[in-house]
Amino acid sequence: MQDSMRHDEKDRESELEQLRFAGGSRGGRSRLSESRYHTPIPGHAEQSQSMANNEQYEARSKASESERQLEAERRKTLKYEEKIRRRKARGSVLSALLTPKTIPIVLVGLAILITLGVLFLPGALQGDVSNEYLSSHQLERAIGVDRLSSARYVYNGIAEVRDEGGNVTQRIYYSGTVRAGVDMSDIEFEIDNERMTVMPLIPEITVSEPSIDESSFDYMPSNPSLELNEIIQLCKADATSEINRQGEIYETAESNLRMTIEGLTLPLIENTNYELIWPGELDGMGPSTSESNVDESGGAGQ
Amino acid sequence: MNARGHVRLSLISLLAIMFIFASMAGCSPSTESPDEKPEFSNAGYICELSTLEVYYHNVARAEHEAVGPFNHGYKRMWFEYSGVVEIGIDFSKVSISEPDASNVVTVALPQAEILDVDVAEDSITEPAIETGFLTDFTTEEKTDALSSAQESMRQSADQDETLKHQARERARTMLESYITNVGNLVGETYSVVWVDV
Repeated sequence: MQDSMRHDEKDRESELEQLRFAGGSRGGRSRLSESRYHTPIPGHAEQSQSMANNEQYEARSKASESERQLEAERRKTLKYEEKIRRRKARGSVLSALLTPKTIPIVLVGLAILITLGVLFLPGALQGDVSNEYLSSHQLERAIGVDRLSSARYVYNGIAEVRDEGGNVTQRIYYSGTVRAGVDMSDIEFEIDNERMTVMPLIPEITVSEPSIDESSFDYMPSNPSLELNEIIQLCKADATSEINRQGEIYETAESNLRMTIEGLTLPLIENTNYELIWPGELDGMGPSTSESNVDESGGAGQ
Repeated sequence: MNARGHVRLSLISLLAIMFIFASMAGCSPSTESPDEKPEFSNAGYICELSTLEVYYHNVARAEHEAVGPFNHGYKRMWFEYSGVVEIGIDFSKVSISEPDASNVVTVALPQAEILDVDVAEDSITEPAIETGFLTDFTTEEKTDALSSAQESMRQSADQDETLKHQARERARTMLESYITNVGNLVGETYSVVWVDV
């Protein structure tokens, strides 16, 4: 390529010389043509001079254009030569670098670079690993502890027997216990990955039939005309109706259950930057555009 | 720049890049290594959450035997009331060791105790009264009966070993679950050994 560029330069130089020669001669014609064909005609001198000037002008324009082209070619050649020179210089650098002594060092350095890159770049680019998503399954496994699902409560009460007029004719003191709780496998979790919230959905608290201690009965007035099984039925019915009417045992059971769920899921939720919220706390948070992740009731448990 | 200069520059660049990579390794997200000690910093909060709220519905009873003819002096009074007793573990008495070489965590756990008693005043019913001849309950006696309701409920809960055992088991289960989950997060499987305090 270098040779062809040099040929181009020579061609242009010879062309330029020709143009210069042509621009300097009279009328721009060769002397031979002048001597053979030119016959001065009286009265045509000015016309001939004008033509000669025009030709001279054209020749000079062409010469300038050729000079510009030649200059551009020269610059291009110089640039190319500089590139070749640098390439040769780099080659000499690499030759100096890759000596038998330095090759092992360079290879070891490259190996270390590659190892570090493979080991640590993906982790560095990954970002905060603690921002992983939770799944309902993880949470359901964490709370699958049956023995925390319910609690026993003491219920001592007074059952009343009324006559047809509604007057109390007999009171019976009794002592009993009742269990309240839920099946932990029925608890579901609603996870909002946009808001980073977890909301446990607690099923209805169930209260077992009260267990009455027959040895605890006391009567006012004493010695009622009632059979023992009638007394037990009265007491159970009284306990059940009072529990359902008052509702406090449900509130206490739910409070215990919430604390249980919070305690069992604390490490998981803390580690993933989620927030545990309860139904009712969502008011004012606005609609979420993400789909909630509510699993079907599944076999949770440890 | 001559060839030697280029060699020097190349080696310096290589070292700089290695240094940058090594720095990025140090800045990579900290996935906890197995050598990192776990923190049970939330154990106190877990104990708090394990506190059992026990709903009580009780009957206060006051009774006086007859001292004269026609049952004079005889009187009985019953009334119902309800409240909540908190039973739990005092965390200041709990100690949790670091995992040993076998990944065993030793937890010293005290017995459950009554932490609080709260009687709901609006739950107290009209007393049912039975009296003998020319006998009645005085206002002071009624007041005494009402004021002793709270103490009665505390004593009742304190004597309920089943309930206290239930509360302690609750604390044990939640602490064990917490310790196990913390271990899982650092890639270890912890087992818990319990010591009574």
